[in-house]
Amino acid sequence: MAAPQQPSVEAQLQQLGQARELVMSDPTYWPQVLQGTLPIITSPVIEFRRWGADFLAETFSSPVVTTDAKQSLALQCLDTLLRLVEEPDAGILKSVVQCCASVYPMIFRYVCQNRNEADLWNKMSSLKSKILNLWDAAPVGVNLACIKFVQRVVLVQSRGTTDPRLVDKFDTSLGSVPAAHPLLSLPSLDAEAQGLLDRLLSILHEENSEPTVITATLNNLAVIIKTRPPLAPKVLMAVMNFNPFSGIGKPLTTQNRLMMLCMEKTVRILLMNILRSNPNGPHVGKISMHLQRLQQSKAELSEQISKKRGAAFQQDNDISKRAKTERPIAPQPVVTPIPTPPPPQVPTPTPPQPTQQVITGPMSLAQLFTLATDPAMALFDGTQLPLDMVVQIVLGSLYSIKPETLNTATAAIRDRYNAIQVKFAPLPSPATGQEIIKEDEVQLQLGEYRLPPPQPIPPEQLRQAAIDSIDRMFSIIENFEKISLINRKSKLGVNRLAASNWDREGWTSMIVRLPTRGIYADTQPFKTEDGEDKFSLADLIRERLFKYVTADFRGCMDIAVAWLNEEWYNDKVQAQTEEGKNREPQCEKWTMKVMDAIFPFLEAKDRLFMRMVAEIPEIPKGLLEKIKLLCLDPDRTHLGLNTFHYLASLRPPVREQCMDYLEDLYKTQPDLRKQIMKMLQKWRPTALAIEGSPDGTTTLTVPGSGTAAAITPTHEQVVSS
Amino acid sequence: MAAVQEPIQPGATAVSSSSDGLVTEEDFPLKFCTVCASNQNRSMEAHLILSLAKYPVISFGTGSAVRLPGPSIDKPNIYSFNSTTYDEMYRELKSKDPRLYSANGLLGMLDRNRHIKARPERWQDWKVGVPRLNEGVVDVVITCEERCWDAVIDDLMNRNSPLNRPVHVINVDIKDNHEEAIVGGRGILDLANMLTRAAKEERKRAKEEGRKFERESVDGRVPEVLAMWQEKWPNLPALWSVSYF
Repeated sequence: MAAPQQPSVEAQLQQLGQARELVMSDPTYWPQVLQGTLPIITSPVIEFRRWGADFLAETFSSPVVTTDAKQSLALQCLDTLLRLVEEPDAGILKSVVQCCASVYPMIFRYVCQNRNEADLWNKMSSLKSKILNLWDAAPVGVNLACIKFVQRVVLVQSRGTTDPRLVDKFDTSLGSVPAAHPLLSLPSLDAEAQGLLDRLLSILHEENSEPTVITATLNNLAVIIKTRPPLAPKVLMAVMNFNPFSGIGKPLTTQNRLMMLCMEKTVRILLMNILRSNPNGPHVGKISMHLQRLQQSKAELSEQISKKRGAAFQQDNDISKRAKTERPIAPQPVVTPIPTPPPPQVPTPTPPQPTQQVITGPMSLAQLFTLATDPAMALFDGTQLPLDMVVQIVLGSLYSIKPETLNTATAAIRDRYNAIQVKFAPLPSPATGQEIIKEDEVQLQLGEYRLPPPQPIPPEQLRQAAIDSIDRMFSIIENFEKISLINRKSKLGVNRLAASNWDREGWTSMIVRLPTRGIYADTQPFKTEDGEDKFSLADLIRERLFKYVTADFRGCMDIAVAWLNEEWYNDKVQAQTEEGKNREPQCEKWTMKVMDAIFPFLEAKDRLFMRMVAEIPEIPKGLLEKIKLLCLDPDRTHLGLNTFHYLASLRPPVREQCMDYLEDLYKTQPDLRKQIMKMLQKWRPTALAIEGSPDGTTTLTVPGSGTAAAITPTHEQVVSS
Repeated sequence: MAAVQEPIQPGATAVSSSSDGLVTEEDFPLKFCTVCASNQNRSMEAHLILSLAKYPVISFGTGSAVRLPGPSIDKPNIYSFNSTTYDEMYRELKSKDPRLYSANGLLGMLDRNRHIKARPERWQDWKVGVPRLNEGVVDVVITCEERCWDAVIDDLMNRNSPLNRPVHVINVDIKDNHEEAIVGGRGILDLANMLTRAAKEERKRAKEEGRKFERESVDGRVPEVLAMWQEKWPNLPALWSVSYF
């Protein structure tokens, strides 16, 4: 591939890129292309070496290249890798080490099967030692690759599971080494792996390990624990001795805090992964306990953060801080280096305290119930733990505790309690020297605590909140299915209670009664900053109701009627009170507004309108005037007249007024005479008797309605002529 | 390649960023992958934003199936990963109830998604390393929910890292709604920009000094960059771990 004329580096790189694209699209060319590029990879041009290292790493990690092809390629690449591993370039090294992590098991397996490949094995060994030398000195990126390489070496050079059913035949381990191999000595390989594992695990405990390297290590351990049972206890022990919160003493910067949380979470996922893979394994108990401890430390961390944020000036911090720093050194029965705090206090079989010791003065509840002798334990503030964990701990200890221990403990507490009750009168506090007790005393003498009254809400906000809640109520009504008016009516009749259940009717009653009964009195204008803004919540609701009702007056007729009735009732009630005398009656005003809004949309046969007119509480004069105008609209004459008819027959109080209008129409509108005559005949025959028609024709006086039919033809002739 | 059960068509999904010409590695030293539960809202919003900025990006979901809201909370629309296309979902929901699904934003989301790639893909079924149009691996995985981050870390542990290749897995906690997804997408773009800037700086330094390696990869700078980012975006809590493919 090296052209004789030495084209530019860019051009050659482009060529190499094309070669890579080719193998990407058809992996069968991969071995061929790699072999062709090997000489270029070690050329003096650093760009080529960079490209080559990446390509090598890619080759041995690619799932599309078969294992056999990889193995045979690996044999050819060792020299190249040996040369590249001397590079000072981090990018190249990262790829080379990654590549070696893939190659190592392949070479190992090959050497297992080919006893005489001493040369090959020596090359691999020297690669290995070079990488191990790099491990400490290299930058983080290379370090990450080294960690992976070491994990692979540990896996290869240790014993897998002895259970033949679980053995993965692609897994290379010491089990793959045939007996009496001239090159591979089991004890030394095993020892090397143990040493490397120790070095790997020491990352977790070194003072200055970077979180990058720590999380990378943690993420490599699951496989070792799961597939190398002999190594599992050691690894698990190291993981559990790792304290992700060791940085808690350092200044709590965002980065520190974030890194601690990241490391904790990585440990947690690792442990959960192990638990899940073997739920009945030997370490389950230990692991779940450790998970709980982590949770606890995490809670402490977040508490410390909130404390820092909250009260910088708080002096009492000293006590809790001391308690915190003391706790990690506090009794740790089994392993001393565990820096995570010990499991929280449970009623351990401590001998009950002599009762006379504690009845000397007022005491806190905590003191009353604490049986621990250890001061660090006694200082522990249980409220720092999340509630669910406390419940778990309590349940767990109740299950495991011996009944006698529990009984003696309870008895001790009971004795104390009785003793305190006897000596109820508080004595001056003895100087116990325990700061914490003083603090508790202060708390005990504080007396009743009342919440301070809430801040008054500014009117603007109040108003907005009111508007929002009203909107919300309307939206609730909207959400109910619209059922026909007939079906909607309650069957209970007068026994029905308004708003007894939360259906559409209930909400309707609620809304219409809000302005009329609920906050009717609230007509004081809100004071805003720029003077007085006249705003009444009741009027606001009325405005909303008005808009709501008129938007679909046929569908909301019942609401309109209910509302206007409530307004009428409220007007009457208000009129009887002193201050209500000057109040503007609302019923008529809003009736007319509603009517004004819906009139333009009435249709010739709007029975619902007629019903509405019949059901509203009061019929103002203006409304009759409007109905009269309706009669003059040729399109809707019928509706107008029918409404008059309806009102006259079903609402006797307005009958006379209706007749006045009809009479007037009869006189002025000859076109309507025929239709009006019937009604006048029924309720005001006098009008017909006296009336001479404006167009000159005379009408006969007809006593009794029976003859009306006889006149009609005459009149019809008159009209039509 | 354990943990991979269902074969998916390699290269069947288009990575939109790579469709508009040669994206040289020099411009984009880091390749990204976004992950959420259903590979619909958060990961796709981030996928779009990153690919509009020309980043090489792919996306996945960690859930067991693609779950979209339905007419009620107990009737979600469930599709399988790797098979049903965004386009099919779009057309099905549109025929079911165009009003509902345009009101709740699903149609808009699916319409956006079908222009980005063909179908939602499941993280656990991703055959890492198998070439997809251009690339088979990424350098940074960004999840959008802690649950997904857990699933990714856990899955990588189970896969036993056949590639031996380090990868930064970062969580950016985003609530699963349209508005938060947009904010989260911006945050993710900012994170990608900051990481890329750091990577370029390291690369440049490697070129200039040439000799001895001094932090010549971005890996060592991730904690610092992430902390800086977190201070800028305090409402998107971050998590991070270095794992391996």
